[in-house]
Amino acid sequence: MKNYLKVERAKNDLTQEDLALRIGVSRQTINAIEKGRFVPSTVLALKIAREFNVSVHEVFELENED
Amino acid sequence: MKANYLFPHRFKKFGWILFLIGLALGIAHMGLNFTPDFFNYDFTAEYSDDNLTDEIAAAGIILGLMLVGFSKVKIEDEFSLMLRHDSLMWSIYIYYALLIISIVFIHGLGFLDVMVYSLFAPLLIFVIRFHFYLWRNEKLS
Repeated sequence: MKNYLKVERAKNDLTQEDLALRIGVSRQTINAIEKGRFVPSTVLALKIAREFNVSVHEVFELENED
Repeated sequence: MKANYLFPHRFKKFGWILFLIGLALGIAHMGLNFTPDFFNYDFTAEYSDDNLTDEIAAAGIILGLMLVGFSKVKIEDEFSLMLRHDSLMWSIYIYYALLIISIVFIHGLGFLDVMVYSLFAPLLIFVIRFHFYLWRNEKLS
């Protein structure tokens, strides 16, 4: 799965720490998602999208091998 | 969110203390035959061993490791839960692999030692693996 978390964070001028605090996870979790080491649950993906005021498809995208 | 059956974060420190006390007591007991009178207990005559040092050491190590492994980390979330579950599965694989090797190669009275270490090995491997994961993620981010 591809994600545009870093791009969306930059658009919203948020650090990993800021975003982590807002959705109640650790900074390491945000980093792991951005780097593709962790695929978040549906609930967490929706929370992230809500934080950026976009739909979840604009942050996360399926890849061919998924 | 569904319940995750974890202890509060503050129990973790307590777990480390219990574990270290148990470990020190266990090493002193097994290596130096440390059996202070303080831990004597008057069992009925059928018991020849009437000192509680090893019992207290074993209980301390087990309870300590349980609290260390199953207390929430500072910011507990689905990622830390996944790391914990992965570590738990990994520790069972490693533990039984080691146990099979020990069963094949260690015979007679020596196997008694294997059984002693077997009491703590799954929890210990789990705790080491889990904290290694946490440390590595800290480093990577």
